Amino acid sequence: MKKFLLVCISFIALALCACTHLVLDSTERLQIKNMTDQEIARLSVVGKNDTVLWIPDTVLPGELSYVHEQDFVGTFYIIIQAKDSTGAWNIVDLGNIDFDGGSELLKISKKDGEWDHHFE
Amino acid sequence: MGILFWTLLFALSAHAGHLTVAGVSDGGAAIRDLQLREFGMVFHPGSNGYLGANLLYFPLPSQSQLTTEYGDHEGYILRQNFAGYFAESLGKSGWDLGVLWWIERHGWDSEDFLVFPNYGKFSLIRSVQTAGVSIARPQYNFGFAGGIQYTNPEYVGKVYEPETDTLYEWAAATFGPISAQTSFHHSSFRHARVTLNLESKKVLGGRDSGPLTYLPNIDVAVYDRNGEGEDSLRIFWEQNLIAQRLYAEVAVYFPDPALRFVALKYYPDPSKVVSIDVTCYRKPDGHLLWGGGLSMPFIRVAYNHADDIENVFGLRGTFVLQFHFGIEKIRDTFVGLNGSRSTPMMTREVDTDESVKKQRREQREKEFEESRRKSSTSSTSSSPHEITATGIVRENAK
Repeated sequence: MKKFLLVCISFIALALCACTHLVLDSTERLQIKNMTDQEIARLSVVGKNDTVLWIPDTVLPGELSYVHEQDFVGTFYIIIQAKDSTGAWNIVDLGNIDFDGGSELLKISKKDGEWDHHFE
Repeated sequence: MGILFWTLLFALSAHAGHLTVAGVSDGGAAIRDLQLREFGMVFHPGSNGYLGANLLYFPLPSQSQLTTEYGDHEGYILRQNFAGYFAESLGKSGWDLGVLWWIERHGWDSEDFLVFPNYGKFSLIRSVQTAGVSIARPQYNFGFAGGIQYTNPEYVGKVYEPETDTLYEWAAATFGPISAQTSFHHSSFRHARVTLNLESKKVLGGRDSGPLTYLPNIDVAVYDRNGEGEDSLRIFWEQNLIAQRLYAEVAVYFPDPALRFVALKYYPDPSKVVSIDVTCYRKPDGHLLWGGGLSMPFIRVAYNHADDIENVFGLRGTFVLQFHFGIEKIRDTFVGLNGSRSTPMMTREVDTDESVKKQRREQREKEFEESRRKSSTSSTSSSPHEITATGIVRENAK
């Protein structure tokens, strides 16, 4: 009887909630860290028809952005804007990035003029 | 062994095809058609009803990725449906009156769900229902049915084509081996279908062997998918190959000849309750996708099955684990969906009433006593006759 109740209760619990959030995150809470010596801003997801602004913050060199939550779990094409030495904002392609969901810190760096990124 | 299985599972799922936004958007029309097609399969004059239920489960989120204009989203597909059709004769009038209700809820969501979805930004959840009444005259083998179809999009993300609640009307008629059906939205035509079920089926009063069982079942349907007069045609051919146990199926779509599949289905029993399938689906770019599946009375396991590609948003390269049930009652026999002979079943009388049980037991004991007394008295009066028989005992299997 106890077992039966347990099965029933767990089935009801399973039926009533969207359960995978217990083990898998369906949203991405993203924060970026600027490891370059340039100001970066406006991290966006590029679509065919429009671009979704994900992190609107302007991040100074060595600084962290605020955390922004979006429904992007999977693989997406990411661009950011970077301020060059003349003070103009340029678009930088970061390419396809895999987001596994949950809280992630994306570190953006620049080595020998090549933009690079990795998760901590 | 287990490790090997999981390695194989992940290796195969790595080649998973993705869902597209267009595929999920088209799911409503595909399911409306499937529901009417299924009803057409079970609507025979003299049929008492049909009960069907399916719950499809896609175990891995990486298999059901959705490709939108932004990229590939990880998420889950849900598809659950229920079908009920009950018909009963109207007194002694010779007419059968029936009611039917097919309901399906399906969609793509960022979280797995059974009842309450998460409604993420890129989700689409909708339900499709078909309801109606049927009237049939089994004596002359004809019947009519009609009703409504209702599509209710619960949540449509902004990446999809906008959808609203829509009501459709449909009508169907069947006479002997020919049946036809059509559906409308307001005054605009949506689809028309003509089915020729030429194969002779025992369960419908036909033959259980012979050349008549090798006649084909042909299903031709014309659709006006987008309401703009762009018609498309679907031809489906089902052919009995060996003794109503091995069937071949071919589906062709016009004018888009890229969407088509062939299937070889082996049913160990002609009731079509258990099946082992091999399918080959032709992708729009000409590549072939091989798949297969195993259906049992309550469980169905499939990989890349053409039926799933057609009915689940064009999803490819996925494992499906499915709770599956579908049984039709025609007069006093039970049969699987579209089956040709009744299911093999055992009948046993069970008494639940204690007094009846006691009565039967006493009767049995009395008979036993009598037989013993008879044999004992006969042995004293005359010498017993003994008969010895040798040979093969044959029993007709039912």
